[in-house]
Amino acid sequence: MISGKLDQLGPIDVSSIARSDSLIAVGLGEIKVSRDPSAVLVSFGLGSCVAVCAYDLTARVGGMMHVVLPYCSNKDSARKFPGKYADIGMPTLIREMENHGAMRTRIQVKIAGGASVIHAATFDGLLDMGQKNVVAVRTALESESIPIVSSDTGGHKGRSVWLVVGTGGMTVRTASGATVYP
Amino acid sequence: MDNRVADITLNKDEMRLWGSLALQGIDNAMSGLATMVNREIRMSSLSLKQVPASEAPDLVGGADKMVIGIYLAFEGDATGHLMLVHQPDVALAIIDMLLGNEPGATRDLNEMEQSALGEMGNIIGSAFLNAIADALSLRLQPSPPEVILDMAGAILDVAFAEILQQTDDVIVAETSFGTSDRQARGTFLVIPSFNFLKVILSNAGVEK
Amino acid sequence: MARVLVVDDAIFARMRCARLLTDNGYEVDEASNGAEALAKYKQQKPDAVLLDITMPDMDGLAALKQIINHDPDARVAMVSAMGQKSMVVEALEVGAKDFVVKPFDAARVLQAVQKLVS
Repeated sequence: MISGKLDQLGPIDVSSIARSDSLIAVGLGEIKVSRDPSAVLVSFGLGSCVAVCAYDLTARVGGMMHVVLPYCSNKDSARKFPGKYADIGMPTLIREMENHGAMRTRIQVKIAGGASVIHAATFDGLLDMGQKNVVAVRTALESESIPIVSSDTGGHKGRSVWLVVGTGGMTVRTASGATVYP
Repeated sequence: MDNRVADITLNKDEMRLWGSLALQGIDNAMSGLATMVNREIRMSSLSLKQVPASEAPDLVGGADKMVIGIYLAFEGDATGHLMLVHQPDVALAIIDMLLGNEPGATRDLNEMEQSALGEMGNIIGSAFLNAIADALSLRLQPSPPEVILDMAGAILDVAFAEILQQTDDVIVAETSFGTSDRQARGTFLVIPSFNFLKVILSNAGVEK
Repeated sequence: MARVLVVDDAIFARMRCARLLTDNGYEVDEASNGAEALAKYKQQKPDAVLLDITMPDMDGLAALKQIINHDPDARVAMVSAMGQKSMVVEALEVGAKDFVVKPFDAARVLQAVQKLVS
């Protein structure tokens, strides 16, 4: 069902970050890490997927992982898309951040996504995939002892998520508005 | 559990077979639409692609593009995902056409408007499945349609979440179509599950 | 005046069908899923039923089985986009008297209803 009216579809101003010169898109299942403080990492159009935004403000390293599924059933496929699964992707994200100079004890995380955009249970196991992803991401972070500073998850609307590497600020945009998590 | 990534890659013969079945289905789908809106429908492009998961949303103009999507899953002897993608203003023009309104009369998407789009999705999706099912003596049953206003990538996530459990690539048949005056136009995406390709290839005598 | 129960989850499809039938002198009742169709059938015993297949909760084929089970003489025509051979054969075997494949063709629907009520 559609809850938003069409006239609410006006442009939402995320121009300050969306026009960054060093915009790095993070596609489904990808992990991208940067130590350019002006870089902005972005995952577009997340439905049930979850964007994990990790940053170390001291080292000025930021990383984003675009999680598609909660638990790994197929280790081989994680070679091509290391961020596809929340459970095995999380250690990879942290290792990549460490390789770029981050310190595990300083890493903080913001997460966004995990919506339920399609309401009908189309296939067994697909129901509440967004919720399952969020739970798996939280569990994986807990076992790494990394705190979640803010989260914008669930609901029925798709999200685009930006992370500013230098500040750790996360911006989340939906069809009806944008929210900044500084 | 099988520990390898299922390879969805189709060889030349398999691609030709999938292509010819997809085309039969799309032909039937477009003639269903033509009857429904009582106008000639032209296909402006048809492409069959295999793309890595990370690039799949580019097919619909980018993951964050606001669209009106009409989504159907199908199951039965094989499973997969069907979606019609329209620019929001074009979807309103289509509703005018379906409801017999003056062009420009539809401004909001209330129950009747959404139902009209959903019924269009049902007819296009069912006609596509009917052609393939009858060609291979299968049963392919569509779900009721869902009409969604959101970012294209967010709607497609449901298909990717299912397919990427087994593979890293996605096979997509993409058709752009419209009335000859371009008043109504859209994109029809067919995203088969891995099992769908296995079933159609083995039913046609090719092992996958 | 013959009474026809139109069963379809899409209000758009029900509206078009209902308008066509009332314009042609039938009395129309509507249901939006299989369970509602069965309840209305038992309550009102219409002269004919037009039954969609793809519906949430109870689909049309399940509803057809239950209606025929309740009343073996029920006069039901399927009106569905899901017109695969295997589906048509199954519906006719279960007891549907006709199968009209959507998209909606007014003359074909009227012909089906006339046959059902005659």
